[in-house]
Amino acid sequence: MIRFLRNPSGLCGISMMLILGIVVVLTPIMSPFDPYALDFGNALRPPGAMHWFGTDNFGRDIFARVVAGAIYDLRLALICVFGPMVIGILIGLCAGYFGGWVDTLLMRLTDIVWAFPFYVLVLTIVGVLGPSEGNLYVAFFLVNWIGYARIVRGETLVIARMEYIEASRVLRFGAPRIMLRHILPNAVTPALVYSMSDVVLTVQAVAALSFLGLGVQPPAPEWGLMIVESVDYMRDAPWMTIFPGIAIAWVGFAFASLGEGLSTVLKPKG
Amino acid sequence: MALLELHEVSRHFTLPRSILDMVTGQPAAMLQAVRDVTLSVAAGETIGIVGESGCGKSTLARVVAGLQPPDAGKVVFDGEVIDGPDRRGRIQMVFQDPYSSLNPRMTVGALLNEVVARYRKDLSRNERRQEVADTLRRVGLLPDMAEKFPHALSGGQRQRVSIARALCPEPRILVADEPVSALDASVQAQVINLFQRLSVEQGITIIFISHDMQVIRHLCSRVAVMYLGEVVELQATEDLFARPMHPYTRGLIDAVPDVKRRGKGDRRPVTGEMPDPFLQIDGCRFAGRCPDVGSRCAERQNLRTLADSISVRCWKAGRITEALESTSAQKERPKENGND
Amino acid sequence: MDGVSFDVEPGEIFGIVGESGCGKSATCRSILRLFGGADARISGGEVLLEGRGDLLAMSERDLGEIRGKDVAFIFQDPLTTLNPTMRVGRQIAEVIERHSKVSRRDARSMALELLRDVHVTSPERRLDAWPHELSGGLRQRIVIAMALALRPRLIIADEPTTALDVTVQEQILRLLLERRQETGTAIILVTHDLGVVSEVCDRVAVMYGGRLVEVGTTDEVLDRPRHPYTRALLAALPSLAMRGQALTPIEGAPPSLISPPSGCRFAARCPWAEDNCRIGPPPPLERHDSAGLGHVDACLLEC
Repeated sequence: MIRFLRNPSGLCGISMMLILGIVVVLTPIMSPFDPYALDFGNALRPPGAMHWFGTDNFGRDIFARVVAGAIYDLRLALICVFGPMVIGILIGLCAGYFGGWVDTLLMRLTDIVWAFPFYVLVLTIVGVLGPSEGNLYVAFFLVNWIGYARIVRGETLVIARMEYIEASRVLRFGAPRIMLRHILPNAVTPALVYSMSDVVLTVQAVAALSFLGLGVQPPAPEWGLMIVESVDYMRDAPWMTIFPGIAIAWVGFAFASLGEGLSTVLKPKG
Repeated sequence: MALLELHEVSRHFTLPRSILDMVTGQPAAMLQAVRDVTLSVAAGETIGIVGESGCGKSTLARVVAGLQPPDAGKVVFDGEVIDGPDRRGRIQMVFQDPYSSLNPRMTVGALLNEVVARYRKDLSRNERRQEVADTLRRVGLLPDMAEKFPHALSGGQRQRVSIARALCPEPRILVADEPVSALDASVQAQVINLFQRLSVEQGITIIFISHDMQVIRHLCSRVAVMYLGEVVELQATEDLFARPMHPYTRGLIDAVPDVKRRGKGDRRPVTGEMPDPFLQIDGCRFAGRCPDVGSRCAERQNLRTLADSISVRCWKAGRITEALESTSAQKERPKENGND
Repeated sequence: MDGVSFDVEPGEIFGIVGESGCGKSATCRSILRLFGGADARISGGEVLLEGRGDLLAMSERDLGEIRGKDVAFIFQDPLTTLNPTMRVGRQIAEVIERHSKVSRRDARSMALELLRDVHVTSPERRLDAWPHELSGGLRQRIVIAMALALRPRLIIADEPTTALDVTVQEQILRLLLERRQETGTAIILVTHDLGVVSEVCDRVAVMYGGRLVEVGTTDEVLDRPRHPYTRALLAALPSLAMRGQALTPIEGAPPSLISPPSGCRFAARCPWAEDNCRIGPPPPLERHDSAGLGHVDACLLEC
């Protein structure tokens, strides 16, 4: 942990997230505005003393919406990343450890999912099931695991041939124990680092899906959705677009830095 | 009945065929890593298996430990045919590379504790900790080593931890695959002594695999020499070194640089190159490099028992040894006339 | 490395023996300043090559002239020494062409001759082989051929047989002896194996903790070792021990070269160490009583 903080990237990432966290926690105290409250009288006001980020076309305070969106987007990103990550890790471990037909089967499955462009699949699933936050989760869970499966399978293939794994087999440890207790801790680092950039990509993907009307529906204060809604007003009220955009970039940068820091710190010693 | 018996154990590896080969009906290239190995190991003995790279000793080690199944033949341990690693962990293995033998993310204590917990379910947490400390002491390490991660240990210490791990299930057989080859000479001595102690004090049967003849000579009571997957000679250690029967054994012994010998003496080291292991050779696999190759060498050679506990895979064995002994005896006679 | 001094006579095979981390590789690389990008600097001393002056003071360009031509280097792993994308005959020929003005065809026939000198079977065919097609022993022969190509006066071989099987090692060592006989080239042979030293070397230097601890003829050093480390090393060998008897290992671990201890670097593990041994600068290499001519060691005690 300490090493993590000493590392400049890690420090940067953590600080940025901390700032975000502090803002999120303190906002309900500091800012009196409800992200959902409509106030047509105050619509499209530029940033000022009253509304720090201005208001949107419905008169909603953008600052409050951006902050509320933080919780929304982060929750979305984390579920859409870490859920598939668990699935992908398990698949990758099994494929790499058992080899043979298990590996062939799982890898062909991966290839099939991989063959379709990400958006085509997600759009199809959401389109079939209907646009909603829940169905967004379903789509990601079905599609987003493949990167992790490949990464972990690659690591597992190398580790499973190590002598300490052979020793575990001679000691009659069962496959689940070997995979989870011995292989996983040594195989997971690249997957974790990848997950950091995956969070960034997922936030963007969710925003894109909102743009297409699939996924999160208005009036949710999701950043991507906010940008979509601001498209008509970009010339007159650019602050409607800019601030959610900055927020996305902020979180993206924070996670990328976290990933950098993690990859340096998690390198096995010796 | 011997503790461990190998009956015509064979293991081969096949390369996948290219499409062209499949179309033209070419058989897949096959490497006979181990071929018809028949061996008996008595309880409590230390038997050495020596050979160079590609002779199949490592594969044989893994077949005995149950990590790989034999393609032909069987391994019988304590009366039962082996089918995978022993359920009670009575055959354990120590590996060559001290750096990949231990999980880099577990402390020494954690990894030993895991094994103790698996095999001694009757122990409480504190008793387990005591057991771990005792095991560390058994291999000559201090109990405070349990806190350390493998990267903080030297190669010799890591090997000792590997041995400690293998000892936790109280095994009857320890298969050691080149356990000292990656260590410096001064450290090798420590680990060799440990093996000796385990054999003498605790009666553990040790199958010691190495390419280093001098280590084997020091530690083992019997030696099996392997070449290209086959056992070519099996004898008691001192007899093997005094009167090697197979031409390859002779060549191997003569090739070892020995501080005592120092370039003197009549040596017939092995010439030529190891043949392609994928080549199917019907006759003697050493014939291409043998200084005494003869007419019958093209026939398939079997492991003959020359006398009690002497087996050789060479039809000429026995005859050649006598001839060599008489020649060297002749050479020595002039020297005895006080030159030094 | 610290204060390493030795001489190599023309045509002699000089061994440098020690365990991992003792500085023997660093020593031989320093002679030709071959650090391969490592963060290493020479902070003093000189390397004098007969007729050429100080190799350490020379310009990179002049040193480039000497490398390969006067002094050749053989690395431990032939697989990484040879270029995997070039046929071996071409690689040998390239060495020749770089340092002398011969035509491509002549260089190729010289390469063929060299392959015969190193006893490569079917040399005409092997000229066009790729490195990965050859066994370890053959590859090392090719590397030796490349080293011999320009008839150097000195070959530095850094653990040339460590990665090879013992029967192949024997062949390679015999080859080096033969080549020395034929061409009179001197060889510095770095190894961890005292057996190799005993078979091949005329004189030997023992290194420990970055310093030389004993230098002398092979017979002197192996039969009458003076430094406690040499003695301990010999005592730890299984070949010299009685069967069934415990070996005498050297307890402890080699010293850190980053912050070496004061005094003799072996003192911490030496069974005869006295207080004097641990203070002041490390003892120098000197000839002590009853030692043979040219036999020096770095131990303060007389025994």
